[in-house]
Amino acid sequence: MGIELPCEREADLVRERLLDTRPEIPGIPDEWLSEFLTDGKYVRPRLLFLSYYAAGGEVVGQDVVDAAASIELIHCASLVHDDILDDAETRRGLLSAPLLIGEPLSTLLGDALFTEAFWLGSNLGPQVAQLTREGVQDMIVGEAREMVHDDPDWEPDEAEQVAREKTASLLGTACATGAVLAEADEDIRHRFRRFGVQIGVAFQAVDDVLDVAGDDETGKPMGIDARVGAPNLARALGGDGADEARQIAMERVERAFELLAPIPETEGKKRLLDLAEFVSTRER
Amino acid sequence: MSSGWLRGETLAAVPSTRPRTDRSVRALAWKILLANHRPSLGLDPWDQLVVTAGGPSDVKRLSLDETVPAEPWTQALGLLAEEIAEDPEQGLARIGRSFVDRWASMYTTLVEHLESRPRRMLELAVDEVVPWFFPDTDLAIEHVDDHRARLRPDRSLPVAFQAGLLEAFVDQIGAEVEVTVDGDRLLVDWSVDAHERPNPLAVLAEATRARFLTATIVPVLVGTALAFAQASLDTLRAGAALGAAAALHLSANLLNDVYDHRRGVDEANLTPTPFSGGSRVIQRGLLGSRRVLALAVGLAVLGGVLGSWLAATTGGSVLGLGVLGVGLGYAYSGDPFRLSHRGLGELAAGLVFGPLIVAGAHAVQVGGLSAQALLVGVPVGALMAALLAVNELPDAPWDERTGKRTLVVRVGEHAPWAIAGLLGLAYLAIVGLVGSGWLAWPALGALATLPLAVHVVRGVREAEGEADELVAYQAAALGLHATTGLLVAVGIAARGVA
Repeated sequence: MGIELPCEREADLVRERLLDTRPEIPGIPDEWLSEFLTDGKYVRPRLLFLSYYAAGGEVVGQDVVDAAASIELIHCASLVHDDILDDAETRRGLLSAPLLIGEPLSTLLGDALFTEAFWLGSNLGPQVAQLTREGVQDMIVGEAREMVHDDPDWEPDEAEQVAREKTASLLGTACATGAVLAEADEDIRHRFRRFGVQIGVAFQAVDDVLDVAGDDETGKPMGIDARVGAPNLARALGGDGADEARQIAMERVERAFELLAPIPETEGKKRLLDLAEFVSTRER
Repeated sequence: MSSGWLRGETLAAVPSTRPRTDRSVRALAWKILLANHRPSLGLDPWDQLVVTAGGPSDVKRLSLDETVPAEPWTQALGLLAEEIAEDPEQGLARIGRSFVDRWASMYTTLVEHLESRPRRMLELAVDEVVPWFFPDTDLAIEHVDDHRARLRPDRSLPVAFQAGLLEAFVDQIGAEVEVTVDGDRLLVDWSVDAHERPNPLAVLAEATRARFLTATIVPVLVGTALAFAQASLDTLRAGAALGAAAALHLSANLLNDVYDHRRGVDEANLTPTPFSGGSRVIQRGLLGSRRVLALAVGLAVLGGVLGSWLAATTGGSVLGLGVLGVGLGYAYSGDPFRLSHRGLGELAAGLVFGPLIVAGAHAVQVGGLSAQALLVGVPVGALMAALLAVNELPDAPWDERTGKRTLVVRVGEHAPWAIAGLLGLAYLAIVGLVGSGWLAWPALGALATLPLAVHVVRGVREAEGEADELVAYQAAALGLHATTGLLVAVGIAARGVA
């Protein structure tokens, strides 16, 4: 990672929380699970913390840490299940769950992680529950849309829709949850939700560019999307797709910035916008 | 990753691989092979390769620690090596290295723990990791010297693959490494920090933890200042007192390292800081534990000679203080007392680096023990105990695990309050001693460091035991001890000048 990601201290609290709540399941090596749960970039928790600060939250209490841990666990659970569907070899530099422990145990592991996530979120009130539900529902709908899509070629707007559902919606949930916990009013919460979604689409567009370009250093085998028939915005755009996808990412970030224009210019907001910009311009 | 590995032209010297059919390999070895090479090879070519080698049809279905016949795996290794490199030997070494990298991704804590300890890493790899993957192997290891080991490669696995494994294991912990063929053996040659190997003087300063010498200098200055204020100062004797105390102090630091090494305390500590966790010269392989012990004995002799001269020319009181000091220094970590393991180390250090040294430095000047000097030593000792407690904070979780129950381990989460108490005692003692006429009033100038004391207490409370964050406050505590002690000494001396 080229830059130091924000909220490292808060991310550490999330790592600790995940290690505390990690399930013990026979046949699943603890060293692997600990690494798997703590090795991610923690984009979702960081977005949640920064949104919390930007929306006026000051002190990060247990509720905010739990919310961030919950959303990261949902992401981890979805990765485990996703790796089963995609027959992926590796994840976060480690052997993927299905390769290491087989598909049946991986299914159980994903279930266990989802359960832990919902348990962590159970004290955060109905608004957070509703946001979480939306994020997970969209993720499932996007995944299913991808599965039933017979044609290996995707139209750009289809690809973007799947990106919005599979990836961006949960990022929107992360941002909106931060705003809810900071006790922002409804209009502001909506803005954060939409902000997260825009950032999420940008994030996925850049991810697609990187997938097409391929880069040993991302730890992501190149062209994996093509192999598993996943929609890829850069590929869907054809020709100079990579440049165009990056252009789309920039536009989404601009739109996201506009959404937060009414929010007071605080240090928290500045750091949130910095992360948003980094996420959508990164080279790896 | 360093470039050195088996050189092609010398490979012929090693007996060729003769796989035996009754050997086995752990299923995880297949999984790692798949994870590392299927993506670049492609799904179908990989499947073909497994079929050709006669390997398991669905690697994913295998439980990771079950064993399967070794021969198909070794076959796959050979086929893969031809696939990924023009020179199959190079391919094999590459497969070996990526194999270890993938293994290490699961054991990052272990690998971090072994940082800069190539010898231990190699032993662990040979004794535990490799035999776990390949249960029938036996890479007989034989240490040549402190940076080389000779291993007998196992005949069931390609030699180049084993060379790659060994190289990657040592490389993982941040050492430069080269594996070469030496007769029918593999020679692993490593060096730690080759480009920035510290010079001997720096190692010495590090081993003795010379930066903590202020702990000795301050009380010697305070005692000497007291004598100076009473109109008698012999600089030679003051120098000898400082030399004796410093030599004994450094010797005790080294002994503590040797003892903690023998009991595994410093080995168990995964969060050393520049101020705690021992000097770690033994753990990092910079000095052997015997050499450290010899150094400790040498310094103790030096301290003893200087101390004996002072005692012979002063009288019984200095001898008594010296013996008590050395005794407490030994009891700090030595058997059977191990005061530091019982939460009494702070008291012992407070006594030695407070009343004892202050009174000793004073006595060698005025020719006898004085109650005033002992009392003036109290605030200095309390500061020392507080400094020690701050330095113990990052070690606390590791000390606790190994049964070293220091003060901060004993009081647990109340540690910041214990430190505040010790610092409070120091300031109260200064005020009380001035009030009762034992200490000259300019010594009140030492109260100027109160804000720094508050800063330290607040900092250690907020750091909540996080080693990274405590470092700044450990440095601040060291400065607090030195500055406050120095102001006391200056205050006393000022009275003598006036």
